[in-house]
Amino acid sequence: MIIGVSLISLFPIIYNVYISFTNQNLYHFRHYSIVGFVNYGKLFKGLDADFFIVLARTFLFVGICIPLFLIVGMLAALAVNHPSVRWKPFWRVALIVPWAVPTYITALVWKFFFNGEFGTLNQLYRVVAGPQAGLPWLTDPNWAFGSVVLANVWMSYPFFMVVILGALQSIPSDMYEAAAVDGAGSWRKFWRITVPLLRPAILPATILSAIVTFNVLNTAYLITLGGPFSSAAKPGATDFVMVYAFRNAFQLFNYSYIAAFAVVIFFLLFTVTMGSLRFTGLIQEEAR
Amino acid sequence: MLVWSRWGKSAGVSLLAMLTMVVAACGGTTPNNSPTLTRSGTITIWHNWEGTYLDAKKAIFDAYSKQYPNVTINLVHKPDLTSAVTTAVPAGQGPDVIAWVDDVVGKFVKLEIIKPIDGIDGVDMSYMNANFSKAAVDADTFDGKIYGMPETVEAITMIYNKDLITADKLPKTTDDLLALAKSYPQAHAGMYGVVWNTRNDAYFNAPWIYGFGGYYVKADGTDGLTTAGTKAGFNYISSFRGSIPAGVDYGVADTLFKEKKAAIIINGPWSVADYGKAGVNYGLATLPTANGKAVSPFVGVKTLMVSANAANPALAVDVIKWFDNKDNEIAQSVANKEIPANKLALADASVQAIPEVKGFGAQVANGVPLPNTPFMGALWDPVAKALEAVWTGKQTVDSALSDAHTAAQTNIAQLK
Repeated sequence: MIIGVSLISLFPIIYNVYISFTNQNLYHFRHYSIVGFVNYGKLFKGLDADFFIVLARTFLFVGICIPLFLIVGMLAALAVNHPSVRWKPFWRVALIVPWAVPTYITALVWKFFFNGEFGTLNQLYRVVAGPQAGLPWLTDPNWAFGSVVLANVWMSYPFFMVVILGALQSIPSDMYEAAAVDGAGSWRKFWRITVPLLRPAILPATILSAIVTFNVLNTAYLITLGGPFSSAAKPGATDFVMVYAFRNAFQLFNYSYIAAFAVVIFFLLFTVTMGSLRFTGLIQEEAR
Repeated sequence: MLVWSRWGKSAGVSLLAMLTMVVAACGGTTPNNSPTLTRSGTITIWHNWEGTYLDAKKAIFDAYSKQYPNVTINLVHKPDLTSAVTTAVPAGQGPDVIAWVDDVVGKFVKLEIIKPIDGIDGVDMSYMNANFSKAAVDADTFDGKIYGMPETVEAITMIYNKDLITADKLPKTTDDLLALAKSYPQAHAGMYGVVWNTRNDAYFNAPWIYGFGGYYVKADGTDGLTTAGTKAGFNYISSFRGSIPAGVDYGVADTLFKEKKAAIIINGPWSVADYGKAGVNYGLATLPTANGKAVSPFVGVKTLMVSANAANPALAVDVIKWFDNKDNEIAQSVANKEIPANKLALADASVQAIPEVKGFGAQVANGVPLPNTPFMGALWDPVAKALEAVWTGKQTVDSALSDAHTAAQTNIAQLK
């Protein structure tokens, strides 16, 4: 058992750390040598190094996506949970579909939607704006970033909807009735009863989802390939951590450089995850 | 259990590797003795041929097996051939023969993926020069050694829709081409005069870079990205902004031409069969001239290379020699309208009668060989990104090329 675990999970990690101190790449694949901290030096060579750009952009992506997941998920859950909505089981299944379809399929469908020439979105836009018009969905860096956010929100909000719906249904209805007797309006009921009681369910989901979003690969890579690129010497507009790592490891074959990148990201995520585990632990204790 | 079977497998592989080394060492004691040819065994070929291309080529290999029944030839299609080979061969596995394009030759030599075939089964420079065109021989020679057998040559050229533009209206100079690109959409709403991937492709834009006197990289690793010629090429490409769809890529250009919404496309011989199927009444013309001189597309030479792990190199060489001999090259050309690299086949009347061979052949004559230096691998990505930065208006030509130069030199430094 111990041998198995160390071979399967420990060995690759140690090997990755070892590779990060070598110059292994496509052309030094079998005959590589140890070069010390050269790769780490490249990562931190200045504030405008790829590493910081990619990291900041990934945090921005997470920072935009998570609130949108929450808002859209919350709205969908409240709508489905509303007493006047009929066919509830149907809506619940219909709304979860985006989350259940494999992401590479949805990503490719979105890629087509965004296509400047033949895409659905620009076809619709042309009905309004004339035959030669077109929005730069994937060709402008900021638009491309927004397009990936849009696709990602569409794929991920059902997860929040399900979590929130479950928690909503566990809130006893007599609490609302009591509040109504005391004269609380629906806005007040939402903020004073619904939100506090949803918190224990939402927080862990948010943290898990933030980690998954941080590690986004297929959604971004399949739609934009990490681009558009506004310079050959800089990462692309949707070069998030995993996209950048994938391109460097499997397209540019800079194994040692990306191993160093992975080591740094590993420590970063490890710290964040440990911190968040403590944080949720505290929350759960508070909720008890 | 899983762990033990993994161990067992890797132990087996290393045993095999050791055995191979022992065999290789024994072979090494008689260095000038080339391997003797025994026509029995299995030859596995990794390739990227598809559709009707594959059918014609398979028939040739089947004929070899029929003539020598002890030889089995396995054709294995690998969609992502370069990465499949770069993973498998250094690990001691992979095929006996790799059928791909000459621009990987330098890279594969550096990675010890392929081995030279000089002196095996009668292959030497005089054999090569007697059978193949000079461009094809150069493409498959690296550091003075022969690393492959040239199959066919290909280059991009102008393909036009005869229903949308007549031959006499075709652009003769780069200025004509630009003028057509600008005027055609105004006269025909929703249509384009000319399309190709102007946005982010180093291969499809090479004709203009080289045509205006620039270049990508030399064999010693010097890049030509900051030369005046390359800048002129970039300026010319970016002058098509607004006349070609902003989000153009290979697929968009291809679809526009198939849907008869583009009068001219710049594309290679692999595409014409599909245009015929799509009902496009197409013709071929050479690319226009820049400053009175023909522009130069890359000429790629499809090549069969022998893997470093080939168990029976003499048999592998015999098979690829057979595949690229005069008669078989004629058969391939007739079946698929490909331009044979074998000059005896190219001179044959039945091949000369094919209009596509004539059309693309004229363009090949103006082309520059696709560089087979491993440094070319360091250029594709930076050039593509610089094109994109200029095409989307994010950078000027000067700063885009200066950044691309920095990125290319960083890549090149890692290869040395």
